This record gives sequence, C-alpha cells and structure tokens, in this order.
Amino acid sequence: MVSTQPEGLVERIQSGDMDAFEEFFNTYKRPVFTTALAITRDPFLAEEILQDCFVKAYRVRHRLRRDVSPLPWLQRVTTNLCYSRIARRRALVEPITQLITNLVTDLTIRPDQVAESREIIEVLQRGIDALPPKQQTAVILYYLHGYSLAEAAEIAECNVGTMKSRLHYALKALRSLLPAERRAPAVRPSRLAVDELS
Amino acid sequence: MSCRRIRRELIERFRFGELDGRSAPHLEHLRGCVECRDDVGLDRVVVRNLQRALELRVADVEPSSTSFEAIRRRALEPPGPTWGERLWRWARVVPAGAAIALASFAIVGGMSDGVPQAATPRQLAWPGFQETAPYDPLPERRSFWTEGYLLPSEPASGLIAWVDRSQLPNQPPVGPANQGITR
Repeated sequence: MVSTQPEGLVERIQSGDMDAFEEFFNTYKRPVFTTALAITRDPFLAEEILQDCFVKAYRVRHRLRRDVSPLPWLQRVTTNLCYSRIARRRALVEPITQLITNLVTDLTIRPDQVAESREIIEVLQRGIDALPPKQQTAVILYYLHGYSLAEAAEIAECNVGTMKSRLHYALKALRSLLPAERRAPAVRPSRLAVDELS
Repeated sequence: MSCRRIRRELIERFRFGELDGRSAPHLEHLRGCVECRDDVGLDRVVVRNLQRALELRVADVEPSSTSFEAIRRRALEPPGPTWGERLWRWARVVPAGAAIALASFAIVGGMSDGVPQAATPRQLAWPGFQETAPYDPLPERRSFWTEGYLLPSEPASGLIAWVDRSQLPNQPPVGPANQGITR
C-alpha cells in the first residue's frame, strides 16, 4: 500500500524544481489529507495540516531519502501535526467512561434502534474520537488506509507487535461501547461468522 | 482448547488476515459453539462498521484547489528562526531581564527600613527643610499634614505632602509661599 515514489521526483525537488514539488504534492496529497481529516473531522483544520505538512516537506527536502517512499514520513508528520493541533480540544472531549455510561442509557431507552447500522456507526464515531491518539492512529492507518501491519508500524514508529496490541485495545474499547444485551446486530453474527468462514 | 482461547486466537487471526491451516481446529469448534460464533461474528460486525465509520469521516471532502499555491508561497518564504537561533535570542534576553530584576530589587530593598528615601527631595518654600513627598515618613517623624499645600515649583499640582518634623524651623515663616499649610 505504501507505493514507491515516482522516478527521480525527490532528486528534482532537491534541485529546487517547483513543478516536481507540485507533482509530489499531487501524488501524496490525498492520503495525507485523508489522515488529517479522519483524525480531526474538520475539513478546514485538515487543510491547514495538509499545507503545513508539505511546507515542512519542502523545507527539509534535502533530507528526504531517494530510495524509499516518502509517504510513511509524510503520514508521521501529519499525525504529529494533528495531535499537536487538537491537544487543546482533546481536553474537552468527553471521557470515555462517561461516554460509555451515556451510550448505555441511550441504548436502553431506544432498544428498537440499537440494531441499526447507522446507530452502531454513530456509536463507533464517538468511540474513535475517544480513543487515545496512538490507538486512533493505528485504527486509521490499518482500517481506513489499508496499510499492512508492517507499514502501519513503520509509520507509527513502533514494531508490529505493538501495532497489533494498539489495534487490539482499540477494538476492545470500541466493542465495549455496545452493551452486551444490545450487541446483536440486524444480521445475526453467528450467520456472518459462518458465511465468512466458509 | 477452551472457548476463551479459541475466541481470542480466532479473532486475532481474523483481524490480521492470518487464517491458515492452523485455524482448522478453531473453525471446527465454531460449528458447534453458538457463543463463540456470536463473539467472533460480533467482532466482524464491529470491524466492518468501524471501516464504514472511518470512510464516512473522509467521504466527499477533497483538499482545496488552491492548496498548492498556498504551499508554494509559504515554502518559498524565508524560514523563521531555527530553534538554535531562538535559544540564542533567549540567551541574550535572560541576563538583561535578570539585571533589571536585580536593579528593581535593589531599589525596593533600599526602602525596606520603613523610612522612604526620596530620590530627589525638593526644596520647599521654607528654608531649612525639605519635602518628603511622595513618601510617608514614619509616624513619629510626621509633622503635619499639608493638605492642599501647593509646591512653589508646581502650583497647579495640588500635591499632598508630608513634612519631616525634624526639619521644621521654630517659627513657621509667613508668606504667600506657605499658604494652605495647616498644623
């Protein structure tokens, strides 16, 4: 999933070729913007982060490696920029324990809507927001971008085991948001499981 | 193999695409265990909805068409000071600030005996004694409250001044320069 860079692109950027830098931007803007948007959920903030990321890339262009894709580095810069920007906002985010309590109450009040996928997705959206940054990044890299475990681990600067662990705890937290008695989705899980296994 | 272990292993293999021949006993167990099937199935449902939730976060939003122009403009601007340069600036400012703080402390410290030291005492109209204003001398040294006293040099100031008793002449001089002084 982490593609190699177009031939000679970094060399041209390093020689000050702005057209090459625009090509570089067009090649990598989408995954960078997607990451910023998935984390911040704010298109304007994601746009600022996208610009900051590429301005930084240009300023350190002489240090970019020519033999590997710059995408993992760009993604790492993006996630760091995101969490430094939203650190102040994060303090305002509802603590996860409170969130779970509220959700349990909500789901108890409206049992007929629990099974709806829309409802589950809404629960998960709030759950993703409440995840610790490292787990949130892991989920976005692995489940949204579709990076392999090794690629996601490279971007997050950790080993594969740590990445697995972060994903495990993230999913555990997200699963726990669904109260046990209300977990059954519209399609029976047992059916799903058997279908996938066969 | 316990249900707990089977669920844990199977869920992990599902999540990370690691199902292989070693998973055959686990799958066989699922056929006969409804609870395990439900648990593994729930995990699949959570993962599927998680992917959908993440896709919805980024759906239908693209970077601005003017992004690159903004980036180009900023990229070509001279870079701001580096951390080393910032540190050097602070290294120069901090001693100056410390010197100012020390000087302020020394001035305040000079007044710590309770007897204010007027920096430039001004001569009043009465020969032989000086105004202590704007500082209030200790009570035993206060002479009188010269409310409304007009300093000869600043007749419009309406300055309120304390006068040091030790410097009073035996007989207050009489004249327009001392108008307003009361004992």
